[in-house]
Amino acid sequence: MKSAFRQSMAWLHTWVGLLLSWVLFFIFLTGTLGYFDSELDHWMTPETPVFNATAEQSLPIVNQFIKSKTPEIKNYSVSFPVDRSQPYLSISYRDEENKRKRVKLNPYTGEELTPRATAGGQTLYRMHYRLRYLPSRVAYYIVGAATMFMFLALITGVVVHKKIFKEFFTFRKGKKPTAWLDGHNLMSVMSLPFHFMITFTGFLLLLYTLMPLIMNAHYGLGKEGRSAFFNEYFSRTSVEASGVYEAHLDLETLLEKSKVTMQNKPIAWFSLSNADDSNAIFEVGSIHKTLSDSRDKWLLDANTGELIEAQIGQSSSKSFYYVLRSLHEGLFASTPLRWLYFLTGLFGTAMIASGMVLWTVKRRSKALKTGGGTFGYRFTEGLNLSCLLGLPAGVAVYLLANRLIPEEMSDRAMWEVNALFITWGLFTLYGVGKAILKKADFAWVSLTYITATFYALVPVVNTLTTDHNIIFSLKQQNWVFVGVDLLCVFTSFILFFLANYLRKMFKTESVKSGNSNEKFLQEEQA
Amino acid sequence: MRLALNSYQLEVLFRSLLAIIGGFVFSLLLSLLISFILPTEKMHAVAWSTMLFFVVLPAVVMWSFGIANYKSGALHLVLSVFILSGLSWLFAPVGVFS
Repeated sequence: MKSAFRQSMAWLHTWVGLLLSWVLFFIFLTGTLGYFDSELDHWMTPETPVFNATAEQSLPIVNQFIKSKTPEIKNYSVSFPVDRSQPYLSISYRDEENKRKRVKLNPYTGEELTPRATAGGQTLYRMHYRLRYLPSRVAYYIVGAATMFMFLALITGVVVHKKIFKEFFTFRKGKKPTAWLDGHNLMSVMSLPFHFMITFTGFLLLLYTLMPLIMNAHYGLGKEGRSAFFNEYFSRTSVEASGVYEAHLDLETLLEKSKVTMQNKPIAWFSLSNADDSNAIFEVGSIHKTLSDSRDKWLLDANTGELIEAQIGQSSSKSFYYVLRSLHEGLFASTPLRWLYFLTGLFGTAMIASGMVLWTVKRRSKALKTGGGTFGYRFTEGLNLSCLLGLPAGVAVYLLANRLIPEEMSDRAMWEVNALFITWGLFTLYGVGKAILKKADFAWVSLTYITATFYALVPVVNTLTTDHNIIFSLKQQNWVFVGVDLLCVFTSFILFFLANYLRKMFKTESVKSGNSNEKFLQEEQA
Repeated sequence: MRLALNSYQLEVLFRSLLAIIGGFVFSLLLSLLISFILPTEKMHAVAWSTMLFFVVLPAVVMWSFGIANYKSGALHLVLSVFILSGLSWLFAPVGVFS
């Protein structure tokens, strides 16, 4: 009985794993790169330096900017360059036509920064849940379904393993498909808690979009029910302007007062609403440093400087919800922890990739014996290889496009993203085409070489088009640029090595299977 | 391409429908019932049970593919859905016990 259950779970693991593996590979790879979104933003705008200035240091520039605006702006928010995600002073406000505007400023001179238009690390990171070219709701449902498949694959994967601990230390090198299986197990078990955490918390980030019905049962249907619940749950309070004039305290005093209330935590942002009104509100927050402080903020009366409410810490389901969200986003993570996030994310990506390869490897000897396998087998192998190589190649092209697309081109940022998907599309056409023609081996090798070349080109093109060559970056101790250069070279080396290995492996295999093919033909004729 | 499904494919199709439709309805009703009876503030009850939905659903999916006899399994699921909807109706804010 027990083994029958395990068998059916193995079946479920195989198919649940395969069906949406292409979407999952995309989600995991872009999401993993997203842990360095701000760093990639910096790499993709090499003309702007990274600033570091406290709230007090940047305040004169803020005042100067606010005063320079006519008519006066009544609602605005300011973020100070005190954290990795905020490399410059930024001010958001609504202009005369009530359109949202955001300016990036040098916090010392007030000069407006106008880097090249780029999709940046943010777009790459956002694609992991928003996808691209699809309406957002459709994208969320696809990502939600993929997350459920991932979750099922993880649980069934654990169930299938009788000796999860022992197999963790098993690696039968060279013997395919056992080597692939052991590699898959290693990648999965090594960071299993991370995989579970990242998958389940993935649901939480889209929680009420994926499952609005329970909320609807209590708060009513549609947008109204949603906002009724959100206003209550996320304590969204907006105070309307009263129309009665009252001057607010100047920003210096407000910041000093908030510093006292915040017990000297560094100020990362503030916002002022209904300025010069009796209902003026001043909100202020600090840097996100622990798992539970992601939504901490303090509300002050902007006219008197008195504390209205300190929204710090959460209770009941909210603390659970926010801690898990913070775990997923990793915004609190210091640099070493960020690298750990990145590495475990890569393990997850490798887990999905090895699982995809495993599906074909297990069916390979049978396919070779029957002269190439069924159409479904060949099509799947084609999709697998063009996804596993096409997306990484696309990311390299995304970086290359940032350096190579002329700066004055309109819709420049959009074309960076298009370059990624065009590359992936071409890889898919080629890979699937070759696989259907029973030449998947050739496609594996050639596409791996091409991807390796793309990665090797990134540091070269970077050196030619910017003055941030590796020596300059090392001298400047600009670790973001050094890191991207080195990672690209490293990836390129691994891919070249892999391509060589695959070429040799397919050669020896074709010699062997050539014999079996002949045998097969002889049997057919007889 | 042949259109008729063999018995293996039929079973896979049936179990998938059981997992997707049955799993969805069952998990939704169970979470809904729990959201009605949790002794916390309404908003927290909604949040907890919405999160619970995403734990119950994969369990039901695994159950649909794990049970030996999927036909009697489907019957049990339909029965439990009836029981759950009855209980939800009893405990709903506009229901009998409110």
